[in-house]
Amino acid sequence: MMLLLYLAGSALAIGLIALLMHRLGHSAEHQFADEAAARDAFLEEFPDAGVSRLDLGANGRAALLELQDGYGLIRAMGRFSLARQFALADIARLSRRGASLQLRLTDYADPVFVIDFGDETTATRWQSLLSFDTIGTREKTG
Amino acid sequence: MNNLTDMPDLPDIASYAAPIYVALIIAEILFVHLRRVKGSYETRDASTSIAMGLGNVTSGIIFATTVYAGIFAFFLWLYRFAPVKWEFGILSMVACFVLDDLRYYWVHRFSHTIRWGWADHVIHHSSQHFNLSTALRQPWFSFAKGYFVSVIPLVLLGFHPAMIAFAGSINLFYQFFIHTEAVGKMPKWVEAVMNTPSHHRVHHGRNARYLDSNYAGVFIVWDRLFGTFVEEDETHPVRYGIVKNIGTYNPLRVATHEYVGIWRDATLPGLSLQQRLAYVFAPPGWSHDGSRKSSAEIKADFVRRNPDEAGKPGLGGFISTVPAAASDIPDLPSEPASR
Ligand SMILES: [Zn+2]
Ligand SMILES: [Zn+2]
Repeated sequence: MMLLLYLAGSALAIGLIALLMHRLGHSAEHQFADEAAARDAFLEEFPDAGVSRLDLGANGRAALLELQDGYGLIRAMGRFSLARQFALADIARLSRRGASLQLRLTDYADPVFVIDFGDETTATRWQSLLSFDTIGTREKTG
Repeated sequence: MNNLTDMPDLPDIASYAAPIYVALIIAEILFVHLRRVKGSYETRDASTSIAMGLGNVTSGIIFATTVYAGIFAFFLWLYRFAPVKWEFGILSMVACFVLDDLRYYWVHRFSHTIRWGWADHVIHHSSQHFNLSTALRQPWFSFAKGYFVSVIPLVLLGFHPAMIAFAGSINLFYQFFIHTEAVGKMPKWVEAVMNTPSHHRVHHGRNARYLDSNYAGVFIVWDRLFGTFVEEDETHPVRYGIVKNIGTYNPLRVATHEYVGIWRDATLPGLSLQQRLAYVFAPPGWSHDGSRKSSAEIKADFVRRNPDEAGKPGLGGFISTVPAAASDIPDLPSEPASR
């Protein structure tokens, strides 16, 4: 009983602190000013990656990259960003809704990547690029 | 000398600390917001950190009468064999505290250099922020890593297990206050002897120069003594987090992600038993095919790219043998690694 009260009290405290931060505007997510900024941020993490193409999402919070060897993604992680290199084999599931693409990755510590390109052509292009299944065992939905 | 029963009832610091932690976190949020002090807070990040702290305390309560009681009973049993038993007093308490801090240094160092220990400790390092809430981002099942065996020498030296537990709780309490960017550098003598916010910022850094340094709990002298001290260099601002930052705020994933990584690696098909064991016990970043980089390799790689940095603090042991054009790339890890 005491444990339950303690947990309830602590959950309330976390909720109130979260609310305070949110109301003070500390929930804002990082935004890449343009494609060059997203590319620079990616190359900070992976200076050897040869970037062939980068498409920035419409809200500036995520980008997908075609690399000379594989693919890359970069996205806002709160106020900071998070970059990953990945191969087709690292995609567990790929789905598209309109101009928005969702990647479920096998990376347990970074399982979901969502990007809204703002135009369906770019989303479709990436969908077909990443759906090219060299293993043939993964589920792909469109 | 004392026997098993004449230890005074020592206060349980952890149970008094929570309101202080919460009050100071709220104060830091407000001061950071008003730009009175340096620092950054982010709603989901800090909420996750505090939730991890709550999970840590809850796990302690849940396992108090089982696992922790068992460990404590084992230490009490062991204490019978201590040739000398120190009475509780100021001097014995100070000695116990200092020796426990030395123990903490090595346990912390092994938590960074053995992947099994890192799987537990990485949780504390998994935020890209560094503020008071980061201090609460703690693991839930630390007893599983078995590092409590490091307490055995202290018990056999004659310190009562309750005294050691008390020293450990003061140590952790102290460490809460050094998780902040609000305090710059402290007076020289303090920076020379004590672990300070500046030293601990370095410890949380993912810059190549700052990796695997400043393991101290309370006294930074251990790092100076054992060659792991790196001074914070304001010309190279600390970038917080881990080499391969995590992309989740889900407390369960935060708590378990490196264990899942170990499991996946150690169960890869076609590995030898030695390779499987290395995925569990070798330094983080080890891989059977050389596809990842350890801290030492990241530092060496950084010096190769930036030969001018060779010999600088944190990069001292790495000499650039291959001339490479100096780049303007900041001193971040240059390749993905498992940490
Ligand atoms: Zn650490
Ligand atoms: Zn810390």
